[in-house]
Amino acid sequence: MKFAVISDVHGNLHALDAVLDDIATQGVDATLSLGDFLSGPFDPVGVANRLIELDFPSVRGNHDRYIADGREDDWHIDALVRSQLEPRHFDWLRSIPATAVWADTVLLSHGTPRDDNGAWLDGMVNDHAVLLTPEHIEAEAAGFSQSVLLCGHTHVARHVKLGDGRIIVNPGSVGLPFDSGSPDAHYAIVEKRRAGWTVSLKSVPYDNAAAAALALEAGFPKWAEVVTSGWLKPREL
Amino acid sequence: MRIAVISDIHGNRPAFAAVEADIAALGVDAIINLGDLVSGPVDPVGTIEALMARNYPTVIGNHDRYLMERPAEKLDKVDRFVAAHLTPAHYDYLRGLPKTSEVGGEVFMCHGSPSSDVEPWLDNWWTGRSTTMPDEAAVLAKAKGVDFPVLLCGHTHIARIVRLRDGRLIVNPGSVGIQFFHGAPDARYALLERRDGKWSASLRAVAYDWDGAARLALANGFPAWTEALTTGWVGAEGLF
Repeated sequence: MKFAVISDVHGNLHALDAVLDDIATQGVDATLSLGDFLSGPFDPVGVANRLIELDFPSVRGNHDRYIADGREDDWHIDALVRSQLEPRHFDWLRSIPATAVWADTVLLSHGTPRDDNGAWLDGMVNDHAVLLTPEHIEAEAAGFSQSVLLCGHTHVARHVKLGDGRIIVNPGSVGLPFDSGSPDAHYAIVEKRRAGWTVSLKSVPYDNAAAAALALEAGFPKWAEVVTSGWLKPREL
Repeated sequence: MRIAVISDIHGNRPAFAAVEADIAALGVDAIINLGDLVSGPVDPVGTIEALMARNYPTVIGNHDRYLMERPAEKLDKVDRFVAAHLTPAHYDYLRGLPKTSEVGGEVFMCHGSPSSDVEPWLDNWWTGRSTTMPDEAAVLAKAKGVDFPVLLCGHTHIARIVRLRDGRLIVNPGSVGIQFFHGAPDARYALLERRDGKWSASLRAVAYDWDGAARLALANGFPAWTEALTTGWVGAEGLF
C-alpha cells in the first residue's frame, strides 16, 4: 500500500499541478486530499475544476466550509473565492465530508477528527509553530482505530507515532507554505513496508513566480510574498 | 541524479541498517554522511566498522572531534564508553575525515554550519520541549559565500528543508540514530534529486527495530536511552 497525501492547496493551481506531476512519478495506489482547497487569491476556480475532475478521496477544510456555508465573521479571501464560484462548485464543496476512511486503514481529517479548525500536531507559541504535547496529540486520536491518521490545517509537515503504533501524518501545504522557510509545494507519500510505515515529506519546486503574479494581479501582495519566500507567518495574511 | 543524505547515526547500527535498506530499495547514485558517527550506546563499533567498509563521502561531527581531541576523563559518559571500545584503526578513519566537503561542485557538506560543527543552522536551540526556525536573515547569513546549489547540515537532529530566495536549497536530513522531541522514533534521512537541472529534497522517516536498539543500549549500561529510542519524545538532556 502506497499513497500520496495533499492538503491546503489554497487555490494555488501552479503548485497543485507541480505536485500532481511529481505524484505521477511515484507509483501510488491513490492520492488523498485533506481540504482547504480554494481559499487563496490565485486560481481557485482552476483548482476546483481540477479536483472535481480527479475526484480524489477527500475531506473538506474549515475554509471550504466557510466558503460553502458562509459565516458571521467572514474572511475577505473566502468572500472573494465565493464570488468566483459557480453552482456546481458549491455542490462539489457541499458533497465532501468532514472526515472519511480510505481502505479501512487511513482516516482523513482536516484539523482534528472532531474539529476542522483544530490544531492536532502543531500550535503557535511565541509566534512560532511548535509540536504540541503527546497528551494533546493522543487525546485527539482517541477513538479512531485506523493505522494511519491524516491531518492538515497547520501547514506544518510532520509525522508523529502514537504509543500504540498508529501514526499521524500532516503533509504540509501544497499552495501556501507559511513559516516554512521554503516556497516549494509540500506533500507526503506514505508506504506500508515490512518493518512498518515509511513516510516521505516531499518538497517540490514549481513556478511560484507565476503564482505570485496571480496574487499581485488580484491585489494581494502579501500572498505574493508568501509564495515567493515561504517565510511569512499566518497572521501576516 | 539522486543522493541519499544521512547524518547523526550516533552509533545506532540497527537504525543505520534500516536506512541503508530503504536507500537500496529506492536506488541512488551516492550516499553521503554528515557526521556524529559513533557517539551512542547502541553499537558504536558495529557502526564504525560498517562505515569504514562503505567509505561514503563523510564529514566529521562535533562528537567525532571530541573523541579525537579529548582525553577520556574530559569526555561525557557516552563518548567515554565509545572511546573505550574504539581501536587505533577506528581513530585513523575518523582522523582522515574532513570538517567540510563537497560533491561534484553542486553539494556542500558540513555538520553544524559552514563555519562551526557545534552551531545549529536551521533551528534555534531547544527551549523546553521545542525548537523553532531562526529568521530568514540568520539562516541566510550562514550561507553567505557558500556558493553551491545545495547546502547540507546536520547536528540539530531536526529534519528541515529551506529554499533561499536565490534558489539555493539547505537541507538537514535529521538524525538516523537518535530522535529528540519530535514525536516519532523512526530513523530519518533525506533524499536529494536533481531533475531538469533543479534540486529538490524529501525527508524520509523509516521504521526499524527500535526496541532491539533500546535493549542494546540498556545492556551497555544506558537505560536513559530506552525511552528516547522507542518514542522520539525525549530531549538530549541526560542522554550524553
